[in-house]
Amino acid sequence: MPADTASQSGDVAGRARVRVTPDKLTAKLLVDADLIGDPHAGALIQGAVAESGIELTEDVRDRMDLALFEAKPGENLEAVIAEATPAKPGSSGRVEWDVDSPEFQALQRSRLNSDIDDEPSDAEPPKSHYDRVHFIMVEPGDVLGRVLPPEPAEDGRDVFGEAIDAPEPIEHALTHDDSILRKADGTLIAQQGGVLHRNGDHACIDLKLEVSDYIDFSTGNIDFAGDITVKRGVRDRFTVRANNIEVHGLIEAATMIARDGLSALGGFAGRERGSARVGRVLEAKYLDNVEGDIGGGLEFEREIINCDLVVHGSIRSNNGAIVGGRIVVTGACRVAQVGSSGGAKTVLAIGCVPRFDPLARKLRPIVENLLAERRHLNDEKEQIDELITAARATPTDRERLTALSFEMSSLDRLIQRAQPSLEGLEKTIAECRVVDLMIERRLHGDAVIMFGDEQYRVLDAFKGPIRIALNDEGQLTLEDAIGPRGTFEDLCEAGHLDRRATPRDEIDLPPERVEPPMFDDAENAPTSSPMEAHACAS
Amino acid sequence: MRVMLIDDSKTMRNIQKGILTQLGHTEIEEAADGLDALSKVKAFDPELLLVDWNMPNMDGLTFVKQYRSQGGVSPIIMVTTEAEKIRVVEAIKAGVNNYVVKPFTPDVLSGRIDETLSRAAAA
Repeated sequence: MPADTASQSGDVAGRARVRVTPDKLTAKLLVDADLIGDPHAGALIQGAVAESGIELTEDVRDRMDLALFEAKPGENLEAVIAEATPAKPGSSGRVEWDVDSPEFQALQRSRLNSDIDDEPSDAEPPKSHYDRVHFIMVEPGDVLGRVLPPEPAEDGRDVFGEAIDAPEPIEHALTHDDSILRKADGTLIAQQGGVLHRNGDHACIDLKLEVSDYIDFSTGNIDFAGDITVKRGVRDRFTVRANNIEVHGLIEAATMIARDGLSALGGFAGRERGSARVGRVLEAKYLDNVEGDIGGGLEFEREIINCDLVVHGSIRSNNGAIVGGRIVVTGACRVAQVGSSGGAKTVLAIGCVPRFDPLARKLRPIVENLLAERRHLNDEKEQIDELITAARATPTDRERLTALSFEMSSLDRLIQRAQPSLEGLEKTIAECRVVDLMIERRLHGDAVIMFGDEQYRVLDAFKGPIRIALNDEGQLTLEDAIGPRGTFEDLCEAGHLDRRATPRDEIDLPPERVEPPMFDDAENAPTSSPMEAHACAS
Repeated sequence: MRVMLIDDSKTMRNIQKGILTQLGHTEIEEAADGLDALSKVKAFDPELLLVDWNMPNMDGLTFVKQYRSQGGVSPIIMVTTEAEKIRVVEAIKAGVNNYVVKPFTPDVLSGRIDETLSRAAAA
């Protein structure tokens, strides 16, 4: 403690003094050596301390006594006799974020994996770098964290007994918008799904996530409740799931799951591992070796090459070609080319309703069998009725008639349930189905067009523009710029599918990756299962 | 409710059982003829009996008489091909409460069962 900054007081003939630091936190007793041992020393020192104005607490008295007791004759005494109680400043409010916890990150990973595989997720760290979560994706109702209140401060006391004011703690000034609810106890609850942004004292959940680079190891897989824009591309084997997905660069062999739409503006090179599950419209520059299920329409710019797609809406491309692969479409289809001059195996199933066709195919024979059985029982009943009318019926006949009546009644109940279901299903299928294939430039030879149980292989190419649609008899017909060319059956090599032979008759399954259909000639043996699987695409 | 079905035809018993099940009666005992039924009634103590007339070993009419003579009071429906009036009267005299002539439809049998049970409840 520098002597020149200290205040001195209580000088008793200059031999006993009290020095207080300028901050009033410490008071030191200074006693000259010649006073030590003086019988009046105690009184003199007490007088000096009292004169200094410091608070004479028990602690101060004890320290003075101790100092005098320990003083050595012939030496100046210097001892701290009073210390202030410093103020406790308390702590300001803060936010404790649950979203940074390993548990929340595990929850994110489990959400991402829930629709992709069946592997259970837990709170363990990710086993794969693909699973690392780099954005904080939240869902409505998630507890994001809590704002902790400030802890109160305590004033101190200086050596004179006066209060030392403690600075008041500050509330955490977290600001947020309606996307986050702050409850009375400070808990922060997500009000919408999206990505959580935290910027200084502001937090919000954004429905739009913008990734300025690639979806790769720097981002991990993405599972987002809102929309995503990816400024560059999506790397191999990554998974992106969101509402709307817009990718400006190339999508490689990735898994894209869009609840709404997917825009593959830079194309999608699936390399036989890429897949797309799109709720509504898939818009792409091109698709190459992609497997997918598209709930709405497909719009593409250049070509669809060797893809395995089910399109529940329509397909439209002004200049694009469908080359190779298998495409199933429910709605209208307008493209520039189908097939290739090299004879790439291209199958296009039109007017197919994969959501309902398999169910209708299952239900139809059931209803037919029920009706046939009903007719059979009715014939037998009429015969016995005739015997009863002619009074020639035996008791056995009468018992048989009772049994028939019961069986018919049971059958009627089944028919009353099954028949309207089938009729409703067929009505829905008819409403969904659009058989309208418009090809602007060329329908190449060897391409296969399928409709219902019929398959048609194009023998010689047709120059566009051509239109394939249904005539009044329900036959596929072809019309070109000159006019109607006749039924498709006459123009192509036709084959028939035996759907009873198919092992795959489930609904809403993606089509199997199988070779395109063959025909009943020596080189191309019939393979009804792949055809059927393709035709119903489910 | 405990219901006993007495008919030599398993098909007929199944039909009657199906109707009774639809009506909500699931506690059902079956017997193939009158003798079989007599051996079971004490233990099962039915609250309703559906009895065929023509059966081997012991016909339905004999069963009804013996059941009543043993103090059986539960309602009995005769389900039979015997449609002549004199036969119906004979059955009713023996203690039958209601009568269903084969062939019958499920609706007719369930109607008769309801009717018989209502009458028995009112009595």
